[in-house]
Amino acid sequence: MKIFIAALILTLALTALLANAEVSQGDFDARVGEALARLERFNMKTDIDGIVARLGEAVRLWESGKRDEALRVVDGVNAEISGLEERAWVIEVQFYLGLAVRVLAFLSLPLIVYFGLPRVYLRLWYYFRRRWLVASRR
Amino acid sequence: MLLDDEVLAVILAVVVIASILGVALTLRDYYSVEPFTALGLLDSSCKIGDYPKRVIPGDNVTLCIYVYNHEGKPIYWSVVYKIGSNETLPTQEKPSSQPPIAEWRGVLSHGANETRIIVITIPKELKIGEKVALIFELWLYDAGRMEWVYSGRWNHLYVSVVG
Repeated sequence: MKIFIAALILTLALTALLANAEVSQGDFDARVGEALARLERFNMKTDIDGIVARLGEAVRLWESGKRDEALRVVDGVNAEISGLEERAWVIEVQFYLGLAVRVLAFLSLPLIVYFGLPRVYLRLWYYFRRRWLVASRR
Repeated sequence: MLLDDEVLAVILAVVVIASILGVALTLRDYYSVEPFTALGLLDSSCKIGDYPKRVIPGDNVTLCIYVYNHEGKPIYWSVVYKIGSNETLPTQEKPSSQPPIAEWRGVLSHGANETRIIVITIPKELKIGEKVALIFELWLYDAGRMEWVYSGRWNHLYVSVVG
């Protein structure tokens, strides 16, 4: 039994070692590139700076030789992107609604000024002259 | 009317122009990004100016690279260090034909930049008295083609090899 458990642990350890050893620089680049490509659709539609920064951290870890850690960070980022993809339509609707509100706000400015300015001006004119007395001239 | 018609017309004209400008700028932010990247080579204190003029073969030289992303999307960048001469400098279309000596990679969001201190090694094989160019090329990863693509941006610094 002890031999079986030892063999199992050894096999698992070797498998884990080989799984990471198989990830070449090219594979790592492809993983980072793929994550960025998946993020592209959310660019400017929601805040992705944190996710991009974590990918940058993964690249730094990889360059400093901490490859397992780098791969774990990339996996974490991929999970985050999957979360974003699940609520992609909400993000897109929010983005386009926000954009439409901003454009409409700008477009309605001339109308607001055209109809509102004379009224506001009139109110102010009367407000600042509210204590004036009207006297008849002789 | 208390507010003169001509005054109102002038105010309205200004507001209409401001409104159109506002809409154009809002839409431009999202839909019309003119994509570009920038690469800068700085001295060891990450400033322009105090670049080395002479290098010794086998020595290390500290420099600083600056990368800016305005591609309208996040990028995976790589700066590749090569040593060349007048004849082997890169162009906007083609990278230098010289073999890469070292490279540095990073990831940047749209509108972000990174300044990184780098230590480069001067190859021992260089001849004393020779004038060489330290070449730094910017490459971007194309996820569609699954390969690094030369961006057309490079910097070079001429140095004299001394003993």
